Amino acid sequence: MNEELNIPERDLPPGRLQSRKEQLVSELSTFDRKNRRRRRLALVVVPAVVAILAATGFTTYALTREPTHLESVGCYDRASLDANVAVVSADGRDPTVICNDIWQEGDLPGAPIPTKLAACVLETGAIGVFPSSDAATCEKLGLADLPASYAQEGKRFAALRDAIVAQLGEPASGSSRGGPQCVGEDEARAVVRRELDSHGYGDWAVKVAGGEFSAATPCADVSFDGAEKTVILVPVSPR
Amino acid sequence: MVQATDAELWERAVEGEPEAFGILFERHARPVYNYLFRRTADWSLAEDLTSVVFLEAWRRRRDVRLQHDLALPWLLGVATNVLRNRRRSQWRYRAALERMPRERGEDFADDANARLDDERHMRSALRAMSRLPKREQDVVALCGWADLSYEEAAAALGIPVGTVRSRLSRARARLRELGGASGHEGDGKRAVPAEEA
Repeated sequence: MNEELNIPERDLPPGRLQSRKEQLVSELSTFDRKNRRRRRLALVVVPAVVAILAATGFTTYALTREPTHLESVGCYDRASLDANVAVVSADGRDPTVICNDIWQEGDLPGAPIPTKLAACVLETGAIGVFPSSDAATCEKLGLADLPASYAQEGKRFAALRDAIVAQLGEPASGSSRGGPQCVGEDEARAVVRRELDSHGYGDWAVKVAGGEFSAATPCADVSFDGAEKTVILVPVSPR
Repeated sequence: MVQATDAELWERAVEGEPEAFGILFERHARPVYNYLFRRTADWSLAEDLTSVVFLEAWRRRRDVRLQHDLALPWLLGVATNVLRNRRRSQWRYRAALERMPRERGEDFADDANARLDDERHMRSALRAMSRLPKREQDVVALCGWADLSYEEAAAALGIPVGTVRSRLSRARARLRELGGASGHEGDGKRAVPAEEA
């Protein structure tokens, strides 16, 4: 059967099948280990918390957890982990305020704008914001509430991000890239290292991923991986 | 040297060999990429989602038994699910996506205009397709655009073959009606017009 479209099939852009394959294989080689580590944490930490609390006579407990992905916030369109989610950059504001803006701007269509939102920490360490009907939204989802300490940590991370972006340009978002800067690898490494150290992130690493710097791709595009405590420099062509 | 079958490669992937999965990627990335383009009308997005599909397929590789030892139908089924939950999938694999090679200005220098034309035509086609229920869209896209057999589409979607037939039949009838109503050719073969008038 042939439902005609008159649009030819095409290959991936030259060289990218191979480079995507290499990156995929590299990702897969650590994929299971990361997943196992997450599962192990879930299995070990929760019973330990239960045991400690039981021993001290508490009858209820809340699993607490610090977020590790400080660079973005997921705004869910209903109180479920299976809901649609809009992922936006964190900017130091309260995540519920950020997601309220997303709702107000109509980026989560199809559901009425919620009157209350709850910020939780997902199993991955990312921040998820859900429509909320009561104070126990995160708990009902099996998640920890976003701790109060995030307010300060979120601002600190946003200051780091802003300082780096001011010098290297906005990170890429899909196929659209913003900013006029073209900063090469050495300078970008120096900028990032300096800002990490001066903002109290001395234990973070800087690494290059997604290819090598070359004449065709001399500019550093920046991205943040909070879980791995790494700032990633991606070689791109001049903007 | 005899080429390994999909099933053999899959078995090696299940045992934890990423390189075997890399060969499956090389073998099937193109049809997955083109299928995703036909569902999104965006070549750049289709490229990112192709990576997402293979990451998701790796995560679920132990859950699947390949039909007739072919991986493509199942990969297109994963692609269909990824499209259905696109934001969630991209969110799940966002860190990996950030590390993937990105689009460069010169990538499309040779066929940039043709690709822009593709996207324009495909957007029109998808507008017409959007008048169908999502379940029927999936069947049209898999059987009509990705050239899966009824049996393969059934395996991809996890539904009976008879359901594929009936959905496709309903979709074609509906598209004929819509095509007629909007002045498009309704020859019974074309699932969607090449371009809306």
